[in-house]
Amino acid sequence: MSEKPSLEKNSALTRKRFLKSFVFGLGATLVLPLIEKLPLSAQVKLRRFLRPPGAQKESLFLQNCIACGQCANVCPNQCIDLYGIEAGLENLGTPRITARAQACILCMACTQVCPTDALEKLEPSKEGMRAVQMGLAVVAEDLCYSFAGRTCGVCYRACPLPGEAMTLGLFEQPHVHAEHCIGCGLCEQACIKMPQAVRIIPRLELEEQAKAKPTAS
Amino acid sequence: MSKIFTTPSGFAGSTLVQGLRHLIRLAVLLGIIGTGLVAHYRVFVTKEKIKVIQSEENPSLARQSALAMHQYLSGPEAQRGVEQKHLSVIRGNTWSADIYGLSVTDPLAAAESVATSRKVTRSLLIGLALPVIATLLLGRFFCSWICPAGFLFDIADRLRSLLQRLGMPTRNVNLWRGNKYVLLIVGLVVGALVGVPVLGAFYPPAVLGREISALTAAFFSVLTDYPVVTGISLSGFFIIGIIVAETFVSRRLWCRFVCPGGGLYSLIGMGRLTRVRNDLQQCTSCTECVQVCPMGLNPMKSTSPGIECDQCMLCLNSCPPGSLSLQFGLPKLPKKTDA
Repeated sequence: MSEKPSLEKNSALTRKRFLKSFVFGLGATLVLPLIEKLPLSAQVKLRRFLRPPGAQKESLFLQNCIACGQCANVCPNQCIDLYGIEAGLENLGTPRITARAQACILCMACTQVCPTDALEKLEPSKEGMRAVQMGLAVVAEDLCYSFAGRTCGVCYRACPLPGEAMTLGLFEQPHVHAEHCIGCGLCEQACIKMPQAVRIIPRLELEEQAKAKPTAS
Repeated sequence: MSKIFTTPSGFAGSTLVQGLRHLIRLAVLLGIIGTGLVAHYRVFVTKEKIKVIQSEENPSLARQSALAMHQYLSGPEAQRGVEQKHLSVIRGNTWSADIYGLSVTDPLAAAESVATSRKVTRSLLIGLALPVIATLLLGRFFCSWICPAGFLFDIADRLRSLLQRLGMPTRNVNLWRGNKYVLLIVGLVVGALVGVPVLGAFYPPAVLGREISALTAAFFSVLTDYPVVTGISLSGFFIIGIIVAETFVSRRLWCRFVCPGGGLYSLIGMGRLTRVRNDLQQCTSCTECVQVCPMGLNPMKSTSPGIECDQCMLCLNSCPPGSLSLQFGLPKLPKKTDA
């Protein structure tokens, strides 16, 4: 009960103390990877968000990101928000973009402020946009108004790379060109159909698909 | 020892300095809350302007908000709102921040990022410059002068002394101090093996920054009509848990025995230039300074209280004969350099 702390008693390095501390530390730090390995289907669903522009491959991004939240603070249209613990501890505090609610306008402000270069520095220009790889837009033709003969074309007008990533066909039917689409999500946000006819497949999911089918081109 | 500057006794440990210390930490805490609120306020202003643009140009296409926003924000610099530039001059939190173009990153964040990705980037080095230089000069000053979690833990300290004054039993558990260094190294190694930074998940300043950013987002979405998507964050309970533990179980439990960030700061500030030193001729060995030290160190040692001293300067004021002083000078070297 006395407040007087014992001084020298608890400073010596002994084998028992070291082992105890080592095991405790290992346990505390391994909680994260162990939770990551649990087969939680909810986690997979909740990872269906986009990373900000300039993000590299998901594994590389997670290595670099220190979850400081500066990208979320600087984002001028606040499309970036931060993960809580709902998608596993590895995603805790890392940035995500919900394209349907607020898509990225590719102003590249977040890439300029990242303190660890988890987001590569890009210029807010067409060239900078072309370097972005956030995902891939996919049009569900059975849902799309234009494919049903009712001319719409809203997604084409929202596209930051019109004519490259997306071209219009008959009745303003959108055609996505996978090699040029950067997955910013502006078309998904702009789509007037509910449920939306155009969706972005996040890069993580594309990577997982490619991993599952390595032979498919 | 080459002593360059010694504080006059009674100045460095005065209530003025202690008040300044508490004020700085309170300002940091409020600043983190403010940054989150300002970021959301900026969005609010932008969205209002976009509403005006839409209503002027093509009212029939209200759904084209993305297009309008794109035109508004990707235009030349002059067209952008002034608030866009001025409201984001301070961003981030103590884990990593940018204050008027000055990038500051916590050494623990940098160490983790380097350990997991095995590469050092230029922006990381720029962010590291200020904290590392300051730590080389001042030692583990971050913990007692800046850390917003330390401010909350100090409140727990006050609660603790209040409980003791009321006669409630509080325990003072002593753990091994080396825990934090072991945790630091184990965390870095596990992070390198797994490929995800792990220590940031339970480092209190980082946890506090994340929690506050989530709470401000939620707060702002309640205030305005605009929905703000936020993650579910339970890390706040972790902070509350530490506060409860520090109140009832042990004084400064986390900072003294567990905190990996504090351990890293201690290691960087090993050869710091500013130290508390004791004049043995004046010292009466009354142990007042030992009782007051929040870190449970012994300032009565002839050299200095050790690498874990966080320069809170509480001991300076408590010393009845005034033998303790804060000295700035080169560390005592074992070689015979001074004649």
